[in-house]
Amino acid sequence: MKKLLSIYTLSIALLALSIIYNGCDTPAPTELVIDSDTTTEDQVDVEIITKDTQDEFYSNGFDSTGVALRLHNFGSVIVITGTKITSNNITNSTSLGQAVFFDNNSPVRNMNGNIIGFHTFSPGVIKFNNITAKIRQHNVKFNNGSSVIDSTLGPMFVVFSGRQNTVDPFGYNFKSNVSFQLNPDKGPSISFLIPTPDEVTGKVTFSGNRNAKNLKAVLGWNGNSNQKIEIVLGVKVKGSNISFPLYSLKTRDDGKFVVPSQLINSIPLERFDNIIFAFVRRIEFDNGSGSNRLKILSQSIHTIIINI
Amino acid sequence: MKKSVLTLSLILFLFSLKIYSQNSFGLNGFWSMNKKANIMSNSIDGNPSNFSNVKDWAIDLSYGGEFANTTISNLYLLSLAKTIDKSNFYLRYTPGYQKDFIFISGQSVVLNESSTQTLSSKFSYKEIFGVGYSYQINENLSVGFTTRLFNQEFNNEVIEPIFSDSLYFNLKTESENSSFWKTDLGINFTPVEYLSLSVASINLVDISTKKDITSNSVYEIKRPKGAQFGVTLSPYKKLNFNFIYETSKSFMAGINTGLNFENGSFNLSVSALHDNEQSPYITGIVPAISYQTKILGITLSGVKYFRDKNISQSFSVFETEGINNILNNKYSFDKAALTISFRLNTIAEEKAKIINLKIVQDIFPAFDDNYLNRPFAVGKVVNQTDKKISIKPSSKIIGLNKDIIYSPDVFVNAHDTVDIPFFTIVPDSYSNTKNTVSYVDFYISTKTDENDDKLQKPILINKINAWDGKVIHLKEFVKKDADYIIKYAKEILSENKSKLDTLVYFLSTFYKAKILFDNLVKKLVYVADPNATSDYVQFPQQTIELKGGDCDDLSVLYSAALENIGIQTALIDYKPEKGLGHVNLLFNTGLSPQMAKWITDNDSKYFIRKNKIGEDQVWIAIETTSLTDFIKAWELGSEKFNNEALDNFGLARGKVEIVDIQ
Repeated sequence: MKKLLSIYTLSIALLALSIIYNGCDTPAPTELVIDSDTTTEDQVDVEIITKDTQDEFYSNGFDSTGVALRLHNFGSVIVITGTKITSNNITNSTSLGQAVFFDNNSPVRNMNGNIIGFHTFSPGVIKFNNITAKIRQHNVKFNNGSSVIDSTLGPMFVVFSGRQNTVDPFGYNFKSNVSFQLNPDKGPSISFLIPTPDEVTGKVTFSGNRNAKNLKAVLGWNGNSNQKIEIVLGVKVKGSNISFPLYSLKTRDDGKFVVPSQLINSIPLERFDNIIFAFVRRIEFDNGSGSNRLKILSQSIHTIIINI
Repeated sequence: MKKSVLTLSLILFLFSLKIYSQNSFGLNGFWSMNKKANIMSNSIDGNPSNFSNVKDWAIDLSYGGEFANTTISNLYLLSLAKTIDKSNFYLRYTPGYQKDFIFISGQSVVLNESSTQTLSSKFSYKEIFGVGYSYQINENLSVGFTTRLFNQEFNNEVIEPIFSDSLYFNLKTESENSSFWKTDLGINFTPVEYLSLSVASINLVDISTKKDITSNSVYEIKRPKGAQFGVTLSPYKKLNFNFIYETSKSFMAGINTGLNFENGSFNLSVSALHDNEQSPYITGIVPAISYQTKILGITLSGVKYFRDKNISQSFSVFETEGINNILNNKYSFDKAALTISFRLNTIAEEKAKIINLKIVQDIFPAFDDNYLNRPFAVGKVVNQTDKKISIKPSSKIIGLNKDIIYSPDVFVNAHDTVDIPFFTIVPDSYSNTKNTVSYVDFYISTKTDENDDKLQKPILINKINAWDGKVIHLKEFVKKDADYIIKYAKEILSENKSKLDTLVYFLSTFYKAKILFDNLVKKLVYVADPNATSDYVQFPQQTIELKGGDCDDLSVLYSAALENIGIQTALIDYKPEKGLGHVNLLFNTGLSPQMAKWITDNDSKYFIRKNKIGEDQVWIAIETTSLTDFIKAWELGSEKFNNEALDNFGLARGKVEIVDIQ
């Protein structure tokens, strides 16, 4: 009997060891798929806008349009914007229509010979809602080695109203249309209507402590669809009026979003004293390709500047 | 009133509990809560009270696989159980009790216009190990608890912006995890052999030992409090119907049966699951087949879910509902498991048990032959196994037996209860002249070297001359002192040899009896029992040595003298209406009825009775208390016999009884 027990014991022990040795897999996982009913707060596409934080090239357009548009990426750009800027609980509204036509045959290069943009040109007379746009110079700044260079790219067509004085009688009406008309120097004129989105009104709530690196920004807005909304997270350089965008966050336009805490807490606050949130609800049209590529943007923007 | 309020409160409490999914799920299904069942899964899944039928040591190992996209096998559990007296201890390690979820978290990093990096997350839920304890209060009632350690880990890939001369993203993994102990209590009750009941808590005590969770708290395993109720019905020994119901409105119902096969048994079980959190109504089944021997058990089981097999599931559903059972949830895959059970029993198994024992007669040392033929005690013994067994009963009466006295073996069918007789032997050397209260150790065994059960009972050992007043037992006194009486009788007959030699051979019996009686009466006197009781009888030698005795002493002596020289005798028991009775004797003259005239012409002085071989022969009655002479004693004996036995119909009415010595 004892011998039988020993054989059993040995057999079982060997079998057990063998199974344990070969049995260290983990059970198969279940794959979960994010669907339209998912309420998780952090569905977002994150993109760095300003890769070089010393380079203020990107700052152009932030002030004027309230959003970081890399206009030079397109052949021609028409942008109409209804903007609200909230700072210190005061909100100012502006309306802006812009049209820029880049000449792809006239690049702007830095000292290394790399193309950083293109010069612009004037194709004729531009009208927004039958208001003739004024021609302004499209100025940019960029680092060129150790120095900052101011450069003029060429003409830019602008209608603008708002702030302290109304420059043009142009008004950006939400959920409506803005007419665009181009009367070229030669040939027939071109006109079309650009639809406008719902007005966006955002709200930013902070919780946590920035010193404890657990600052959390909860964003709310009047969400209206399952379309995407872009939230541009920018900063203002301490002691200056220079501000520039850092990240583009594209998420569902459902009215609520918690900014990934790493994006807030990693901002070096010794260099920046304001965080800027720009809620951008945009309608885009894209036409053509290459140098003939026309980009039309119609956008409602609410920019909130927060002093931290 | 208070009890009613308490019961009502308990019912309301149970029904107020929220509805959650099934907890009572085991890889091997739900076999039985009956200890006599063929097999009972040695697991605490669905058995929070740690109810166990392990007799000593038990080691269980479950290995199996999940049928997902690919079949992945792993060790589900390794467990150890030990029973000490009425306590059972259980410990298990469960590396296979794990459920992982992976998903694209929803965050994407746009690297450039054509390249996007998506971030993923992995959630892991594990049961690491568990311990259990149960205590068997009595054969019908057991209480116990189990406690289990769980761990949850949430790994999320996140982007960390790095500000230097340039701004870029660093991809890293953030982990949050927590551990908690879950403890439950339960009671198992077996009111009757064929019915077992259980009640246990679900998530009664929940203690977090480590909690480092902030943003993922919504995904923690759900641990709602509840209760479960189980019942096992065993209409036949090899058939069990099992049902377990949870306050979550989930249940498991199953049947298990078995068939003995050589040294083991084949067992089949199938359990159906209804999980209130899963669909369809019968969520799945757990079939199992098992082969069990005393030492080794092999169980092959599986879980088959009836829902569609879908590897990808909706995150939104998971986010809303979560999971509350690692092994059985709406994301579980079909499984198969091979469980090897090893039982090491160093404790002798109690196959048979004495459930009652009765002393049916006190010990009268003089009646030694009586205890070889009639039991002095009868025990009610139950076979606790599912096989026919041979039970060897034995006993030892302290102060009487030097050794254990074995009684005949008794075969008992499986789970049957029988009356087992205990016999004993009174040694010839026993000579205690005082009544003694002693003890008997009773044993029953199914092996030669180990007792299955034992019991001690007090017993009265009467003094050596004690008699119970039953004339039939005087035979035992007649048989004593044979050597002495033979010698005594032969000496007397030798002295009368010349006289006996002159007789015709067929009268020698009559004259031998006459010579012996006449010789005895010269030496003896009749002495009435001084205590006027009938509990003391002298052995033949004592009567001769004491030179006297009462009617039973003298009848015993004369009967012994005749029997030892080959003369057949019978005692005549004259039963009284009240008070003391009387004893004298008949002896067989060996004469045929036709030859009775050779001893008497008076036909009222003899009686025709059959001898040992059925022949009619002449018997005469002797009044042994008449110590005048043989003729007088014959006359008185005949007269009393005629009067009481025949004329007053004593024999017919049972008032007179003839007790043959041989």
